Amino acid sequence: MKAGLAERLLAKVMDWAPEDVARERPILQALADLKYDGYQQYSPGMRFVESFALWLAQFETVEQRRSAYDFVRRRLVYLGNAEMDHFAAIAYSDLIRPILIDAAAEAEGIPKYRIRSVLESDTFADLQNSTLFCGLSDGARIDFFRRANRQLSHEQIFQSYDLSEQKLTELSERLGADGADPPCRALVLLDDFSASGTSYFRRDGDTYKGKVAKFLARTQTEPIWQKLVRLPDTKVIVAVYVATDVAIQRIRDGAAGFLPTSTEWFQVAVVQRLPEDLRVDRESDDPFVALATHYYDESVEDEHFEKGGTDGRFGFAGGGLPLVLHHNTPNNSLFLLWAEDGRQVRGLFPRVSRHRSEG
Amino acid sequence: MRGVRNPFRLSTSESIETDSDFLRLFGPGVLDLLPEGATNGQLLFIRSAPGGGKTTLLRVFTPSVLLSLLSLRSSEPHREIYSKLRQMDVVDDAGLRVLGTLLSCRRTFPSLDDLDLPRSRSDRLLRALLDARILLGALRTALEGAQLRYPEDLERLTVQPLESGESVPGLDLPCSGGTARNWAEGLERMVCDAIDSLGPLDGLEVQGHDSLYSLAVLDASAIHVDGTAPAARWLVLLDDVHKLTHGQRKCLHATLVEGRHRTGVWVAERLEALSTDEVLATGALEARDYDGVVNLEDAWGKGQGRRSFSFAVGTIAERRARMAADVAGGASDVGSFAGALDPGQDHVEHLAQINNAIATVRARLNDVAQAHPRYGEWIRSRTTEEGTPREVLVGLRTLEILIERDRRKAQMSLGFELPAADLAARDASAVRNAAELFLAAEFRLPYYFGTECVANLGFQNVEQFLRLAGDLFEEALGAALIRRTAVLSPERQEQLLLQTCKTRLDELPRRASRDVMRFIDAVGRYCRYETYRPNAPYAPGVTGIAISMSDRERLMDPSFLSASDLHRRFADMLASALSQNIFRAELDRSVKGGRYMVLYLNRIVCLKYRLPMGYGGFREKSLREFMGWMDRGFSKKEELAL
Repeated sequence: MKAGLAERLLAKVMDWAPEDVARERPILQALADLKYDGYQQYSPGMRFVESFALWLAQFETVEQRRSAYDFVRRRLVYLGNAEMDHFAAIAYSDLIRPILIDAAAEAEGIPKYRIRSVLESDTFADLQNSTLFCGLSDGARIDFFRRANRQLSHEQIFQSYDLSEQKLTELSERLGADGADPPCRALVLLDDFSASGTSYFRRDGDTYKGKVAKFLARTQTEPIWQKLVRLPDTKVIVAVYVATDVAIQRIRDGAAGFLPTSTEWFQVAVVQRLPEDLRVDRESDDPFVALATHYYDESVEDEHFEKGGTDGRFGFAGGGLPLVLHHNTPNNSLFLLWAEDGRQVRGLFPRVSRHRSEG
Repeated sequence: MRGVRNPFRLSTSESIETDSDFLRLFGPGVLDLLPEGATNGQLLFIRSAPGGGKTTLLRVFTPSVLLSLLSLRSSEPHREIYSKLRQMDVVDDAGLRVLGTLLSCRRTFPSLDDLDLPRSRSDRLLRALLDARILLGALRTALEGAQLRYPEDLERLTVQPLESGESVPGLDLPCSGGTARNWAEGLERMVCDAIDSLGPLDGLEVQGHDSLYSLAVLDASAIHVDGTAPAARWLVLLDDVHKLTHGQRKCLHATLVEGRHRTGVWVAERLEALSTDEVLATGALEARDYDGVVNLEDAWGKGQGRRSFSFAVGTIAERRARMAADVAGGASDVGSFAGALDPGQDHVEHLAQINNAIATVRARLNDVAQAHPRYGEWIRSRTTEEGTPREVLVGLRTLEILIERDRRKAQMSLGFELPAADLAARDASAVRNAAELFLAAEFRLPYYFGTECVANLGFQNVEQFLRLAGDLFEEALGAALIRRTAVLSPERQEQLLLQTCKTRLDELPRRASRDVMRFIDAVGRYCRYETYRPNAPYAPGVTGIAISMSDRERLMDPSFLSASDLHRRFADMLASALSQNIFRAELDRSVKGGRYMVLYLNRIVCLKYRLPMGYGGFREKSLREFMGWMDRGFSKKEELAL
């Protein structure tokens, strides 16, 4: 649809007068140009303003549409490609490196504020050189992370934590060449986003599930990893570019439960924290909450969704996030924002689910 | 990024990316403000408040814009620009006659003064950095002018020895363009290293320059492309000079004046960079011709200039509206700015309101006729006059004002009826204008609308005009989008103009001091009080104040100001208000045998206080009174006393 037609449709749906168009159009065009048109899951040819107009049109009354419009203008949080790249670029310098500096300062017995002395110490150089960086998912932007941190060697940064035996052997030999024990002094696990933290650590009876829990268990049980990593002597840092407070706490709790004998070995570093008050409260009298409750398609509730323990109106596990990520809207956001194409309800930024329905 | 929806929003030259877009949007009227021979080796200071159009003016003379113009010269709207620049001997059919090299003083220069060096040393470094950047700019400009690439084609440039025999420290002439570039970059790097250095500067490698060698190079036309000089004349365009520190500005000024260069140098700076006495020395003077300074707002604001400004911004507006229509690819019905504003001549949509107003004014006049039979014939003749409802209403309200004037004078009258011919003799357009203003205020009729009004509200500042026009145009575009009439009614125009003016005034406290804000309010309230007096004594109204030229001299006298904190505060306040274009000064106006500096209020302030847009109405006061306003405002008590 041509941009002008989409804008005209939007104005019609919203029952706008010329002054409303004059007030809103420049803002919407700027938002679309700078951010929303970059959403990667729009169908070919679709742009934000058209999606917005069609999304608003599904609400019955103009008042409802105004509430929905207002919600998008005032509460929606959209993290675009540029922002995520920026988070990846600063994760090491702003968050991970200071943790390594603190650790080196402690080992050297130097006050933490004497940054220059710490940086010039062999301890810091050894620690930085023996730190491994692994992506936890495709979203970790390892290529960008690598290019942004030229002080790190390409030999210590990996797309994934699933390393081949050959690579692990090489690493053990290289890092352990001077007798360092354990050879890997710190392990940094990088990821782009966590809303609930359950995919990292999830208690299942007496054990923990989740990708971080499983990976750490491997490092403790597989001989090839045992040569390289030894908890709690190896420091583990889970570095997430965007995470909620709930996710941060759940990851910390999971780590504490996984290895209760020590607290020092594990840290969570988050570049952009999403505070609790960002969530849309089910009990709120915001008129958009009534829309989010009413406009819903129960068919979204498959076996994966059931793990969240609630219906999906406010997203997986009732996440209630007003959040859109440029590559895909997280399912912890409000259903109305991400409803996939083909549902009875239209999503503003339709999500493409990893767990495809087989029905 | 999509095409520009509302080109009025491109309010700065920097925001217009391509040279062809720049030329499409450029209003050539500003070229008329330049003195004759401005590109023939003159030192010219171009000053204005923010948004006055300095950078736009400078950009016209850069080679990429001029070359673009040459290729487009046969098409509208470029023909007029080409014709003017040809007259100025800047271009001709063979190519460029002037090579303008544009240098912004925004970056690095001010940091030099943070080095805490003795003034003389700091000045030498400033000249060295200027030399480096002017020469680098000139090398780039020479290649651009010859349509070659920078830096790839630098080896086709040579810098010849100077005819004067003068040498350039550290640069052996003749040399290639590449060598000259290395020299300039090395010099720049040394100065920047000094700025970045955290250590002591005693061993500073760069000693600096005692004059501008780069200008000597340009004076001698020593830069050659493939063995010949690339154009007849050089023009160095120094922009954002207000970013320099006070000391640096003084040094630059002195260096340029003492240098007596043949190369034209234009210095563009905001008025805010000037000291209090320098600002107070500015102002439009009818009799004065060019003296090396062009104050853009003053030049637009004096005499016929106002009409020229109105015409120039009208052209700019139409060009922008045309561009919006082109961007919309015919989807927009708004192809003209003037066409988007209902001129509201007949007030058709306000007929009922006007008829009610006529009834009200007639009833008041009937009461007057009964109480004062002396005006019987005036009232009978006026109430039987024919015309459109609006003309009738204005005629009646004008009569009310004239009766009020007569009553104030004729305390001892004998009671004879005044003849109708007497009424006709007293009826003047100024009184009718006042009557229209009074009617608009009393019956809430729109008063501020139409293209002329928007141009007036621009107050000779292009950015201010674009902001106001842009908001109007945005709404016309909105209306066109939803297939409503894209012509804004007078009422709606007034509402939008009020909103925009309010926003702009609300932004003022960020730039202006509390004294300025209080003084503006006092002057606005005072002007409103004088304007709306029932007999409209200064019809159509008062929109300015006046200070005697001798008081102005005192405010510019440092020894006088050092003896009085209050006078110092007032002088600083006034200078600040002038540099922000809140007031416009007209100097040496004759009033009741005295000579005065008239300070006209920015027209957006006039809108706030519902004052007329015209000029000519001002009231003179003593400094003491004005200083009281700065402290206490224009109080009701004072209002009553008046």
